[in-house]
Parts: sequence; structure tokens; C-alpha cells
Amino acid sequence: MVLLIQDEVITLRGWLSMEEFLDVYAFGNALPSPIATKLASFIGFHVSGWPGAVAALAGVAVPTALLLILVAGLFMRHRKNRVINAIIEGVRPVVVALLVLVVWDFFAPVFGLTPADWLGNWHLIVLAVLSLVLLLRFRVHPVPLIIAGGAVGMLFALLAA
Amino acid sequence: MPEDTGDAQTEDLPLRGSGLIGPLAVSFLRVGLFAFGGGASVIPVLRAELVDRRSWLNAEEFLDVYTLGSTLPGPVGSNLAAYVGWRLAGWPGALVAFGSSVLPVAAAMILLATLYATYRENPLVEGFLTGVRPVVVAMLAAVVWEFMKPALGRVSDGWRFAAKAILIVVMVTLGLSLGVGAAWLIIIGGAAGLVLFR
Repeated sequence: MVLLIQDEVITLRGWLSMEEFLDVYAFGNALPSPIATKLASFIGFHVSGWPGAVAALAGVAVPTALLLILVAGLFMRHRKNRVINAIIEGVRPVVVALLVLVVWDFFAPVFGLTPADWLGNWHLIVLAVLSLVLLLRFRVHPVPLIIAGGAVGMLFALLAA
Repeated sequence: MPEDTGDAQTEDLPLRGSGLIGPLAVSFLRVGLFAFGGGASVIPVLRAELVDRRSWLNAEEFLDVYTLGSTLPGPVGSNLAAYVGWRLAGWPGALVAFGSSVLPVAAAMILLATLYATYRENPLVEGFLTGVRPVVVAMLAAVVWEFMKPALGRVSDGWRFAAKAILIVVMVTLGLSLGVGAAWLIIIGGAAGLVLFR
């Protein structure tokens, strides 16, 4: 989706230069939530102030939200339909597979590629394993874990300085 | 605060309850504020809120809603927020859930952008994100595990269970080795379902 936004905002409309876009993107990645809404808000504001921000945000997020309400509503109503059920039964494992792929994609950037990297990132690996145990075995909620992980990260940053 | 929505069944939709507006706002605020690390990272927080904490959806329903959400375009967090809000409390619920999930961070983007120039190299900010990322990886791995049961069914389902397990392996392989895109994998999966599970 970021590529689509780049095409529209930089190439087609010339609202930002590539360099400005990359700055916004980097800043956006420091915050939570999906990137599309963050980019839309900022760029909308940049172009036309608060009304622009609202318009951009609405444009990127509202139509698909309404679409999901429509589709999911229909699906739920026809839940008992054998054909729909069969399709969904086939798609559910794919969704799991897609998430496996996401985890895989995250692995190298977060922990490194080689065993030497992994050794250097031992504290991150420990953090991940600990989090996994706390999540699955002790049913800890993700939010305190995020805060704790961030705190540990800041601690290590302070110690390194 | 009424939290008596233990069984969000699919038969009577939407479950109207103005008492849910507050909890909806709170839950989706958390989703918006703590989903670090890209689109997929909303899932663990969403699941923890909707299934574990609020019991608004059970595990199967959550997987199905997420499945539908991931087949459609658009930011998955706000899409799912709108749907869950709508289902629980009609259009006011949809609006509140949607708004709670996107507005705080949208405002933060705008208001903090000027600060970014000053703080971009700040080691504490870097440190925070570096610490958060492994947790996010763990959260996603945990969700994969939690999705296994509703996705695979019971072992006693026999060949269906085996077929679904094989499907997961095949899809991961296709994605990794041939770089097949998500859309195609979903189409193949749906077709497989149609053929195998009708």
C-alpha cells in the first residue's frame, strides 16, 4: 500500500518529494497503528490543514471499512451455506500460513541473519522467547509486554551510552 | 459498566447495546495505540482485547472475522474496528470503534512531526523500538499458535485435519520459495476448500 501512496502523492500529485516522504515514513514507523492511516493523516494535513487530514484519513480508511461491514455482514448471515463454509474452511489455513510468512519476514530484520548476529542480539532473542512464554503459558496481555519490551530496549540503549 | 456480552452469537446481529460504546472505545484505543510493527501487529492486540479480555468474539469467530478482513483491501485495524463496533452496537458502535482506533495516532502524526526532527536520532526512541520489535515477533508467533486450533479443527476430524495441516505447509512453501502473493494464496485456499470440504 505504501507504494500506491507514493505513486499518488509523489508522482501524480507532487505533494511531497521522495525525500520528504521517506522522512514521514520513517517517523510513521516509530508510531503504532498501520502505516496507511498515519501517512494519510500527515500528508492530508501537510496539503490542506485539518480538513485535509480528515479527508485523507476518510479516503483511505472509510470505504474499505464499509466494505468489510457489508461483506462480513453477508457472510455471517449465510454462515450455514455449505459453499461459503467450504471456501472459508480452505481460507482459514491460508491466513495462518500468511501469518507464518509475516513472522518469517520479521525474523532476519529483528534478530539478524547469521548465528553471529543472533549472538550479538542475544538480549532480543531472550526478550522474544520470554514474551512467547508469558503470552502462551501465562496469558499475559500484549500491551504490558510491549511497554516492558520498550522499557528494556531503552535500558539497553542507556547502558550502551 | 455492563460487560455481559459473554456470548456474541452470530444469529442475531447486531447486538445492540449502548453500554458497549465505552468499552468499544477503550478496547480500540488500545489497539490503535499499541499495534507497533506494521499491519499484522494489530492482530495480537485485537485478539487479546476482543476474545480474551471482553469475550465479544470466541476464537473461531475472531479467526473468521480476521480472515474476511485480510481478504479485503484497506488498513486491517480500522476495518476490523468498524465491523466489530457495528456488530456489537450498530452504526454508533462502528463509528466509535473506528474513530478510537485511528484518531489518536493520526493526531500524534500531525502534532509530533515537528518534534521528530529533533528526536529522530534519540537513542531512547531507537532503544524503545528495538525492544518492542522482538516482543511483536513473539506476539505474532503466539497468534499463529492460537489460530491453529480454529483453523485446523480437531484431530478427530481425520482427513480434514490432515488436509488443512498440509494446506498450511504448502502455502508457506509457495510463499517462501516462489514468492506467491497473499491474494493468490487466498484464492487457492478458497478453491481448495470448495473442492475438499463441501
